[in-house]
Amino acid sequence: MSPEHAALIVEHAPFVWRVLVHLGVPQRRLEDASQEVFLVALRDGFRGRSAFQSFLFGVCRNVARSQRRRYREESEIPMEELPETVVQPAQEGQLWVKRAHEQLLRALDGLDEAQREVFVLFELGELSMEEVARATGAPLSSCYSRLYVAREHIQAELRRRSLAPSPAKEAKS
Amino acid sequence: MTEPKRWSNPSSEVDPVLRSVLLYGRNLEPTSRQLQAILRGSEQRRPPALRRRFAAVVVAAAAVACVGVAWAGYASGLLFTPTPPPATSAPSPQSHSTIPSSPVNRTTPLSASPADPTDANSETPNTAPRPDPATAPLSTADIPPRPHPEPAPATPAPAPATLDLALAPAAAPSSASAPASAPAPAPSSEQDAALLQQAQRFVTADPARALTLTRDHELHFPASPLAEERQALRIEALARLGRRPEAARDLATFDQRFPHSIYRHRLHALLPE
Repeated sequence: MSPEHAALIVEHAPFVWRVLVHLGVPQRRLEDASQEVFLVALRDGFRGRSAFQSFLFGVCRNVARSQRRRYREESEIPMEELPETVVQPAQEGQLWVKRAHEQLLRALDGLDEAQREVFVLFELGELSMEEVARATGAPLSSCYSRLYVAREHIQAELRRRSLAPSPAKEAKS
Repeated sequence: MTEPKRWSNPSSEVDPVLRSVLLYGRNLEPTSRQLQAILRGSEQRRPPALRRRFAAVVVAAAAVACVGVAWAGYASGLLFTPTPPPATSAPSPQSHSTIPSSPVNRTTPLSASPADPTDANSETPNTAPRPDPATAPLSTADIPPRPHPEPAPATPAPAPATLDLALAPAAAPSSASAPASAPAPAPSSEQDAALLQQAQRFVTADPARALTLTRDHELHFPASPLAEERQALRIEALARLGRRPEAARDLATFDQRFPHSIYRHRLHALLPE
């Protein structure tokens, strides 16, 4: 591998990792999935693209789909319902955040794929909305509405799981 | 249409609990070990799962071949002759079961930016910082070679073609002619250097992350030959985070530990008295 390729992988591996996590690739498959992404990216022209992260996201999306499909087919891990409540930050520090993040992943599972992609790219991939539109191939206005719907869903879902305070509770306090 | 505020933005109106969860998700990244695995796997031209199966088959075949060769040697009375095995004999299992090394080229300069196809995205934090000359992070590419270990001997070692941090000085580069049965160093100097390379990349744009990476490095490689570089990066990250007392304290220790270090001048410039 050329030094340029190695450096690009080192640079973009965190982005790929994050996107794959939030597109529903199981933890134990993340290494393989990331490798697959970069194998494809190397094969299909790693360099010379103006919107590299958009391109990389396209690869991530395909890899995540096939990984999820394999995961479902093999049923390696039973789909467990996580506990509905989580302990509060003061009680367990980092562990709390980790558990809460698992709840976020479950909430993301409840979104349709297009909404999930917009949410993940904007909130976690830190792309601008224009870049999100380019990466997903959807009109900008659709991306805005998808983000809105996804946010509503995530907030409602996390509220249901007692992670985020409900508006009523907030009003009381 | 105005760009919406990200939930991770402190000025957004989202619940702080949700914000901290998103921040946690946004900071997820592979560990150094996982990164090395990705680098190794991405070097291959076949999918990872297939590669493993292939490796298993080759190991089994090599084992069978070894048994066959031994038996043939015994049968012909040659088994105990002192002549070394021919170079073309069946390769040892290790040579196939070990994933090919050096995914990170040792000559990759620590401070080098890759040929940058990401211009359009260079404003995102995921892309490498483009150092300007005034604030360029510690770079080993533009400084003279330094022999290890400290203190410096009177006569300098012959200068390598390129000087960079990825060239772990104490680690002999693996050569293609090295015996295939040599045990793989764990963790390797490549992982060692790659982790510091990553810290180097972030030290300007995201010094907090660079600091975390240097801590990670210290945990994984406490006796690293690159300890000096690690400390230098740590001090620079602290200085850039505005944690001057800590940086100054670490720099004092650094001065004592590495009195001849090539980084001292630059670190003192970052932390004027």
